[in-house]
Amino acid sequence: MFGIIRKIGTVALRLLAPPLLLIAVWEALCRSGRFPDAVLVPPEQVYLTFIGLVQDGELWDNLKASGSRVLIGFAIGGGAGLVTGIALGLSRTLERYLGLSFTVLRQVPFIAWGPLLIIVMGIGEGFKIAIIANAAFFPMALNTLDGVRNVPRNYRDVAAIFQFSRWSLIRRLIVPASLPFILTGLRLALSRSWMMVVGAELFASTIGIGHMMDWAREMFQIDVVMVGVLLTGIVGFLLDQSLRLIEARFSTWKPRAA
Amino acid sequence: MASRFSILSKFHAVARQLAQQRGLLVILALLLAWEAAVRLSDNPALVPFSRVFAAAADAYREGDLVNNYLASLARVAVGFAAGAAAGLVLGALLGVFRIVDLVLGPLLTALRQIPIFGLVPLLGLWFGIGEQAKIVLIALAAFYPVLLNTHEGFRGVPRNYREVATILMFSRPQLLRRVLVPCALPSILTGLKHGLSFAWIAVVAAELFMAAAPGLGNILQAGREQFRIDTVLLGIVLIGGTGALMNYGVTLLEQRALRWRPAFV
Amino acid sequence: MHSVVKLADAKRSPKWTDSQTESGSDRRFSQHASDLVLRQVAKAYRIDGKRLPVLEDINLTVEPGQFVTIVGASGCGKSTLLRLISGLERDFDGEILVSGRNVTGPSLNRGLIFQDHRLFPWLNVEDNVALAFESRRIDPADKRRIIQEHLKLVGLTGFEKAFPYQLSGGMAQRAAIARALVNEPEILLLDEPLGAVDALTRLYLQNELQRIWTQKGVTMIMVTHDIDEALFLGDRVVVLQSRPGRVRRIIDVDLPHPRDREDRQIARLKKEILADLAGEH
Repeated sequence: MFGIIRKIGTVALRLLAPPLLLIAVWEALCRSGRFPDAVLVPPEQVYLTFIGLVQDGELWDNLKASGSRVLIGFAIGGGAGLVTGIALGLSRTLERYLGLSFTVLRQVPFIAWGPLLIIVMGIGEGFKIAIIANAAFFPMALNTLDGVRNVPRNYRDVAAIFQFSRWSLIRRLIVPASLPFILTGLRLALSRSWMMVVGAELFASTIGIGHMMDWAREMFQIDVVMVGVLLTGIVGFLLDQSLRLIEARFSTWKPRAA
Repeated sequence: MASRFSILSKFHAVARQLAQQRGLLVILALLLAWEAAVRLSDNPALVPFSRVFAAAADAYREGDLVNNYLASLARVAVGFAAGAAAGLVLGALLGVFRIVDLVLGPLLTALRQIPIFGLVPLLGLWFGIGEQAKIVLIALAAFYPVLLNTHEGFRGVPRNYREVATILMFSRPQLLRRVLVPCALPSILTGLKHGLSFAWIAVVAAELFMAAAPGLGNILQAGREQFRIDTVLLGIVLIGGTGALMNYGVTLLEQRALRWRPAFV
Repeated sequence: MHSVVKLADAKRSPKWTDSQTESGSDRRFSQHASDLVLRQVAKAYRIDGKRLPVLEDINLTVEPGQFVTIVGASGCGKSTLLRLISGLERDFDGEILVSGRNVTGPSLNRGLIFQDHRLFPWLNVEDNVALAFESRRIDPADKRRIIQEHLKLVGLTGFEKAFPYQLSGGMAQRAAIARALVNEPEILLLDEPLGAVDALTRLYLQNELQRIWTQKGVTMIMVTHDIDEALFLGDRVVVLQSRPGRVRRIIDVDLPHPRDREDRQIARLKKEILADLAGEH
């Protein structure tokens, strides 16, 4: 009983300490009086701005726009990455034909595709989803490929002995055996997607968190910019944590690490 | 001797792979198909891939290409050096001294959650439209991977090795030089590799999203504004190629520094 | 010599029989064990362009329902031999015939048990055993019943939902045995199945294997480096010599099962085998 309370306490401390400390340092910097208001606004001012943005619904609209872009782009890019990773990992022929193209394309930082995609697709939703999907694709494909390659040969013998079909092989062996890698890929892909949605909105947009920040920067509204910065951090953190929970949930067959 | 041999055999392996690469054929076929498609269609926005070389030649003649390229390289060098140095020092302190970890750890964790592009508007406001904002963005991009991995590396030094150091009566500097740094090295190098590739992404982002200045991002931006696919592709090829080269360089460094690790491939 | 006689009446099948016909559904799950003939089987690996013979000139005939053990020092190619018979490795010289048909790939008719249990860590015992049915169409109720029967056969009733990490080495190996048996293979290949369990469990599992063999009437071919084990279980003991692996000799053990481990004849045969293998080091 006591142990549980202590455990909850430790977890709460670990979760709360970073933001509390950040706010404390931030407040202290503001009170030191060395930074003008145009550069650093105190936490409570940012909080009031945040409340204001929530109340007039602007924040929610922006968040929703960014969120749906991330989800769609991540789903497309992550799904394609998963399939590509498994296919390249299983088929030597495919690897031989497409491996090089994959490696070459991978070298281009995802942000650099932006201008090209804009020329080809315009600056609408399609472009934003494409660039997010592209950012999600490679981490997912690479980690899946790693996972598939790391499936122990021994297990493949078992599959051969029981004459698994290709589909059985993927469903019963390849996917579960590489699940830890796949989940890591998923987590990376999601955080890249979230990062990229802000980037996509900086390129061009009329709505979204990135747009809100960019517009506020032009208006010199540093409080709104800081709300945006904090929000992107918090959402990113929550997305990452939720995938970590899923990760923990899916590894029940592993003995708990001591 | 041994390393020379391995470089030679690696060269052979690469050559053999290239010879067998059907992948190369696929790429060539795609480029040819593109070229053919463009010549057959009459959409002015589409340009043949061969135009990329012409664009490169044009840009080179006008002197922009070299200037833009050098500007980006200089930015990544300065930003990465600053960010990586800070990451190394802080990561080591965090890993070695528990008290530093307790005080600074949470703060760094909180700040780390902010996606790098999210900082672009804030840094723009703070540091203005000059070079400073760009360098800070790049340094921050490099900082976190280096910090995290260095921290991890130092924290993960096996107790067994520390005990050996105690038995041998190592001084603190000796402990650092003979035990901690070598043990943390694989992780540190991984951090540097990720840091460099993030710094390179940040260079492009800075040049695209922050105030205009010479750089490879500028080539992309100019191409976009003039609807010139060839110019944009030139930028992509240069950015991708340079990124790959930098990555390859760090990997070579890694292999050399970690020769003692049997599992290293 | 035995094998020569056998060969004469072994029906020669066309060389390119595919595994589908060989394991055709009519005889795939029949209760009658098949006979196995190895004729001049040889296997070599290529390492850096150099040919490294692993097995040479292996001739062996196994009657339906026999328990054959293969002993030899480590590195004599015992495991490779089983991999060839199982069909996991297809690149070899000579002929391997099951009921007169060439082995061209794995078949549910030939089960294989590995030294490491190779249960999939993310599946519980029941689901691991069910893997054996993956390539068959089978009524779910039958499937459940067969799995239950076999878990009972190996003494794992009550552990259906346990994950491999929760089992001891011996229990995991028993689950692996159940998995290999549910398809009612006619030939069961065992690659040092007891190599990784402790000495006491090992003796116990030897008795269990013998019981299962008697109950099932399945042909068993077991590779081991433990001469006691080979003599305790085998109707015939094949002694392999190393580098390259060749049949040193084949010993018929004419003792009824279950055997007395202290039997005089076994002690004598053990001495002979030890003498055979002693020259190798």
